[in-house]
Amino acid sequence: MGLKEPLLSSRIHILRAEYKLTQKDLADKVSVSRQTIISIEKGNYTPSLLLAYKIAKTFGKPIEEVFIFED
Amino acid sequence: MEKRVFSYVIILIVGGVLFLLSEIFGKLDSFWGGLGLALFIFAMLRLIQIRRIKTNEEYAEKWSIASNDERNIYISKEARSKAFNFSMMIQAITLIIFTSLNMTEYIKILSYLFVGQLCIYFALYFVLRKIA
Repeated sequence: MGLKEPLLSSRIHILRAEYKLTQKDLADKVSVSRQTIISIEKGNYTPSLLLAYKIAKTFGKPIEEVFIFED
Repeated sequence: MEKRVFSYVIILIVGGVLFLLSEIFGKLDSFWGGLGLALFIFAMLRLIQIRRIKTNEEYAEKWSIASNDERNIYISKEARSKAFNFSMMIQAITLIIFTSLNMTEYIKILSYLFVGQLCIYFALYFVLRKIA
């Protein structure tokens, strides 16, 4: 969890488009601010495992399909 | 929430009394008046916010998300830890300046403060290491 740690990229914006969800909709579903979703999408903020799990669950996908770990 | 309301009411009363004793009755000097006014305004704003949370559902939800948002919590913790680092550096530099100017009284006070803060840091570090 932290700012500017480019180890984890996400496919949230792709999945959001697929599921027709706005950043605000997703933020409300996982009880965080819209700014947090924006930061995760931009790769500026690495979410906690719990939040990553909640986001993945919202899309009905396993965590590794939403977040991609880059070596 | 009720406990918070109670504590803010106490702060409001203490602040008001300090302000009155200083500015109206002249029993205390202006420092206490200023402090009292600051406490009064702080408690008043908090009480207004609590009232808004209780009466406005939309605001309550926004407030709850903002105060429980993990990124906000992370940023707040990071800012506090950086503030501690910077204040320790500033104190260390000030200590060196005071030493070179031979200001013994200030050196003594600042040294106690510096060592005290380091002791609190290490105590917390070891406690948190055991918990986490």
